[in-house]
Amino acid sequence: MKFFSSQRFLAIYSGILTVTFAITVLGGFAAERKKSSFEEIDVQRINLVEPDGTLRMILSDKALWPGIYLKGKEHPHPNRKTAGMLFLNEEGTENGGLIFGGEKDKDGKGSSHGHLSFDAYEQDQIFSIDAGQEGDKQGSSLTLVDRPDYPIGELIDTVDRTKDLPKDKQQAELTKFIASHPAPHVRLYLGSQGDKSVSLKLKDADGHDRVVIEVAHDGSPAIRFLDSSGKVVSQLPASAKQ
Amino acid sequence: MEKKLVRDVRYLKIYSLGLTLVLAVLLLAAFQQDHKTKFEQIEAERINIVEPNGKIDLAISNKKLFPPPVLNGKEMVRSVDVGPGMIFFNGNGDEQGGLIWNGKAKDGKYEAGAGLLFDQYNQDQTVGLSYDDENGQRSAGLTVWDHPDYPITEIWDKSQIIEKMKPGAEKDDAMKNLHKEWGSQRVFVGKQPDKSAVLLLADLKGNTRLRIEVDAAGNPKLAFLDEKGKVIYTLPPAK
Repeated sequence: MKFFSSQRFLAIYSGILTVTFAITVLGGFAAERKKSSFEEIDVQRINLVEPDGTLRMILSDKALWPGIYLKGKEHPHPNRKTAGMLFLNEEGTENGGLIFGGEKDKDGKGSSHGHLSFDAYEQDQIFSIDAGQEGDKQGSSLTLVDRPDYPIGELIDTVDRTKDLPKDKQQAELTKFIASHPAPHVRLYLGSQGDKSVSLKLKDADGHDRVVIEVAHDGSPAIRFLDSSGKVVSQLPASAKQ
Repeated sequence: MEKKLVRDVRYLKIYSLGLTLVLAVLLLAAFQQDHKTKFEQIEAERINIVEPNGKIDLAISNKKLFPPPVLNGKEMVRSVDVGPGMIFFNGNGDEQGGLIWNGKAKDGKYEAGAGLLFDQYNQDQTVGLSYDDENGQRSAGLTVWDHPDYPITEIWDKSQIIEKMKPGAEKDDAMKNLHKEWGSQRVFVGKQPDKSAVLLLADLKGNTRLRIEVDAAGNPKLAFLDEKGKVIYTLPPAK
């Protein structure tokens, strides 16, 4: 009689198998509850989730960077591919982020960007800090933006619906959407621009500069008050260049 | 008896086969899930987010394993003691900013601070939110800096040469000039240690030219300055 068909083998085999199965299953349950400790972890992406699975934060490299999350569902983003962190609200909708990147292009020109922003409910960013550089042009700023009230899901639907259309048709649909919806307006800008000037700009609800406090690229300081058409109505010092 | 034995063996065979299959499925599933692992809580001294090729994008670290600044393979030493926190790296794998915090009490005094900073390409920080506190002497605000277009490693090399100079006025001047060359603060909005709240706009050399201020006593002031720091115009007008 061959060993493998012997009853003893069968009995031992099934015994070992039962024990292995029990350890695997129990071990699996135990590991899920355990706090794991490491000295150093290399990973491409970490998702922070609530016990019910709702995503609250994603820490990711560029390769696994997510699209846009809206109520727990991921939609493709037309062009955002970067490393960083994405924040999500209690409903699993994008709420802000902290992203960064930069490299030398083929012609040897360096570019760089860093960005922290927080969004309005189901809308785009209302507060942001940006640092950016394209070649020798650099700018860094704090920006506050008034966003319209429509849910950003409407814009995402348009992008999803038109994603298989040719590029020009896709762009036409987007242009139509933007023209038929209220626009966002920057209300406050504080920072340095590519022209080497620094300024604080307070803007009206339509996004027009109304108070500009500035040190121009040549170092001269000025404060200007403007009307809604952009005309300077008062300025300090009176001799400042406009 | 014989019949029962045959039946038992058959059951055992079916049981073993069944369990073998279940285990195989479990094992395979475990391997397939390998790219996404689930934990309830992770404790680590450092976590690196890396691209598939190993290039680092972000590190979350305690103070001990906090990475030193490296640019084009050259390792430098930070001018201030930082960590724990988070460090961001750009597409070249060079440091590009970070989120740091610290605070500790010693001999009845304390030091605390926090900052979120983004760097200019191949250079030092260009925009940041920061808080600094030395035993109640505190400042907090948003700052914008300008830096030269060449890499920070050139500044580092020059600083290493100056470090080797004999102590004295010549060395101090050299260090001061290097700091000027390194860049300047262009914008600050926030509160200062003298308990004033200010908006400061500076020229390319870092001289404050426009100051809007509410001082510690509550007086609002507006001042225009020339490049030497002389006040040339104020509101309300100087008495």
